[in-house]
Amino acid sequence: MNPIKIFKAGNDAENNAAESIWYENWLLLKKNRSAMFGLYIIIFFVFLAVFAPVVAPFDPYLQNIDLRKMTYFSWPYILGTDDFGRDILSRIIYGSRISLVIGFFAVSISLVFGSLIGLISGFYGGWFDRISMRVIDIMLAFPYILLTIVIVALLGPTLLNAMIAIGIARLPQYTRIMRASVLAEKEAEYVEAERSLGVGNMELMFMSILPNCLAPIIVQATLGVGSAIIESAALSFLGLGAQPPTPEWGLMIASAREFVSNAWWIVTFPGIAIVLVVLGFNLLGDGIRDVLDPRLKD
Amino acid sequence: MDNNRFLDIKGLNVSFYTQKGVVPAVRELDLWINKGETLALVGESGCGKSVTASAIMRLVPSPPGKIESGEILLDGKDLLRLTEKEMQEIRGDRISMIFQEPMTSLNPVFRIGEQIAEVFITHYNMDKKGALAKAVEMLDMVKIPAPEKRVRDYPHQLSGGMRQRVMIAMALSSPNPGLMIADEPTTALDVTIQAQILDLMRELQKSIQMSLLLITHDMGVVAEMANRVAVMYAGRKVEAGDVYDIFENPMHPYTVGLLNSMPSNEKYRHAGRLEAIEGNVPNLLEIGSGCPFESRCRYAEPLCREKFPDVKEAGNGHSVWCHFAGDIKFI
Amino acid sequence: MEKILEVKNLKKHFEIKKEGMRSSGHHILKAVDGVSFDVYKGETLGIVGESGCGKSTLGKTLLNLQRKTGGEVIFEGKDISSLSDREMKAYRRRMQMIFQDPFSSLNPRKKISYLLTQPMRVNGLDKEFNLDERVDTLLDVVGLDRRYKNRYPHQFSGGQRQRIGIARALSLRPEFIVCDEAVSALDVSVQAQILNLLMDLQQKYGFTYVFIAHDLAVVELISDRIIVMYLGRIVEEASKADLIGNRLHPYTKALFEAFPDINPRNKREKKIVVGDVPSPINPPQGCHFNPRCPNAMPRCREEYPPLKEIAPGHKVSCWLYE
Repeated sequence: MNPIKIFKAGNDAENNAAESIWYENWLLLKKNRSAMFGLYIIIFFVFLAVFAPVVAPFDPYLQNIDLRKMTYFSWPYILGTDDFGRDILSRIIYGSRISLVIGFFAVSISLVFGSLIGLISGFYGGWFDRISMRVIDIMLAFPYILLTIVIVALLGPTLLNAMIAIGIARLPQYTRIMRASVLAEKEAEYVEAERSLGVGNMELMFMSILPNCLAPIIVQATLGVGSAIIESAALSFLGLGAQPPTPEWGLMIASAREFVSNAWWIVTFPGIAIVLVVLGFNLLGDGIRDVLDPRLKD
Repeated sequence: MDNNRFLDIKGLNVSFYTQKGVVPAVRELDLWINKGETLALVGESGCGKSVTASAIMRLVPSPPGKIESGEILLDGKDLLRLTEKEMQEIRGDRISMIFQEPMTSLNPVFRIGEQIAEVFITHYNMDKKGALAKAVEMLDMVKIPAPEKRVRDYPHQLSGGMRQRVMIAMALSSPNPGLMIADEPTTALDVTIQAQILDLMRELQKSIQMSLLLITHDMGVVAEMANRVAVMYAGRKVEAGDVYDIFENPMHPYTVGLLNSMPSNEKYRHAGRLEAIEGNVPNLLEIGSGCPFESRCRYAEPLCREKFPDVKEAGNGHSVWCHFAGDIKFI
Repeated sequence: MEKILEVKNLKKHFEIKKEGMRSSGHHILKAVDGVSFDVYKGETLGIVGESGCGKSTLGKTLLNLQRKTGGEVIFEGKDISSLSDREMKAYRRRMQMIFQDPFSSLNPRKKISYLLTQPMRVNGLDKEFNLDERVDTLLDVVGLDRRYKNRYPHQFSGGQRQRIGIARALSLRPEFIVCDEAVSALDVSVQAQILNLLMDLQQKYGFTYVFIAHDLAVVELISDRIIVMYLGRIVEEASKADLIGNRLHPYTKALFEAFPDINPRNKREKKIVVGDVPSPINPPQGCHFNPRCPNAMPRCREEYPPLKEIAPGHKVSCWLYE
């Protein structure tokens, strides 16, 4: 009997399917309704951010003293105006640019540096591992909003510094997750197998082990974008992030908080925007986790 | 003859509903075990032998698993019709089960003596002291040296073989041990330890007249332990009969292939290529209505793909499910 | 016969942290404790033993995947066990390993074509070989369809994965291959295919195998000579015929008797070895097998017997044969 005929038998149905694990995971994720809902929310806000000048009815900085604190549904100001007469809807649309950039930028910092430190620590161990883990322990000993505030205070209160601070303060989590997965993955037989074929440390670390450790990091990063957005809003609220007149959502809430009793919409709509975006990232993150690590489901 | 059957499974169908489709794990399975006998259920991974065991215990994880139809009669009572509460009373009393890796079924934070004593406390209403004394007795029965010391050990302090002995002791502690299901009980053990455990099981089974359902992939273990054998392939029973008939006059091409695949087969005593079964176990998702072995069978005809064969009887309870059983001359 | 590998008094010890809260310091686990043997070109040397006997550690130490504690592994006149990773690279090509677990020995994120070409790329041979052609050839050699090269490991069954593992080990055209429990994770019917494949490849390319397994029948089938190990040491070394017909060490006898025969009329009579395999951390004084040995003598409890050649090619380490 010829072997080729035989091997076809069990596998013909998936013959042209050169499906990577990522593609299969995407198919599973597509079936997860709440994750998809989260993704749509994110896409919606990304769309707003990218096309803000087209979508927004007004210039977000344009003040109009005559039209201050217009209530919602007062045409053409759909969501009303704030205490300087600026269109709230336009400010929220422009604000999505800032929030998303903050989210992605802060997460990129912690993702890249945190993972890198975790990867090296886990792979090599030794003195680098000992030192970096102690530093991480110290960072984790701080309440983490305090740590963020301390870093911003040191760097100076600007939006960029707020992003950097959030990124640094969240970095230990990524390091820990990455280190733990690397330690587990390092023991897998394929690592030994590749070593026996003469594969060097760099290729082992970045080409072989890293791709297998990405799953929990991706989950963490997705959820992290949401929390970074909340934190930057919090920092702006405290006056440590974006400075007026930037249309940043947290700042919008902060500067209008005294009107909450007579013009609640000025505070509420940016708040809803924050909730929606964060919800989007959380739903998506949870969905990705379900797909990548079914054990964590319940 | 029928009332001698302690366990009688009729037309059992078990499926798993996965994201990729419905997996027919066990199909139209008939199986019975007489009182005091050992039935070996043999097959390779994915053949449905372990699912059958879970079905008897009513422990098929659901979802995704589902017992679609069939009857599982234990002493004439259909287990599939019992309430969960009634079933709980049967588990660990009339039917007990031991697994490949005993560590997973022993609780790591309790001393083994306490775990065995628990059986006596629940099933016999004994007090703790009496139950612990019983535990020592049971450990002695399964030949654990220095049992009065060992009762105070935690599971991780025991070797694999010792843990399997503890599992057997627990299984035999129930008031009415009728059937023991042993799912690959020695696969994780070294050969010398395997021999000890198999001996112990045989000896105890004889002394308390218990039925044993031995699930294994190892034909050597089957030859040593079984009175009767049922061979499963991809969810179907393909051949069943007396152990001597199965080993000396196998009639299904798969059984023949399995025996020929064993390096310990006499004919390879002095080297040579093995007569392997070519190909791989088929994907259960894509299995049709025909004989599941058709894709790997060197004697397959178009008929085999279309229709699952009816049973052919060769006497002495030797049944084969192959269209050409008896017609094939195995080399 | 020409020696391809000479192992001299090889030792591999591990430090194990003591258990318990109050104890400190280390135990020494002597996984491989002074093992010497030769491997001849083109043969299959089987190494058999139960868990904890050190056979897997031995295999890895032979290939310098684990650093030895002492002794020598001489490959073509050179002690490779003392080479640095860099110096070892030249030898890696020629000495390969086939691993036990076909599910964990292939990187799940890589396509088959990547897995099969990686060894050539990292060894700088991508100019020497036409990589595409080479992948096709390798798949042909191990009996897999060429179209499978764009798939990922999880799309294959255990047997097919093991074929991929073998193809990868062959990609560098090695001469010496250590098979570490290469078929024990497979189903019987698939195991037979892989054993056949390994035997065919040896015939075709003249490989030398060191075949490590716990399954006596498998080792017996594939090997020309067999080494039996117990708790880090060799207890018997013999040709296959000698080991089948005239096994000497009580442990070897016990092992063979415990192995279930597939003839139901040959039910083993009750002569099984008693007791558990002792922990390799604290092996029994004297001959390690003495507490379980039916023939133990006072001397066995005091001194470890030397491995002694009592017939040409047949060595045993037991005081009975003094």
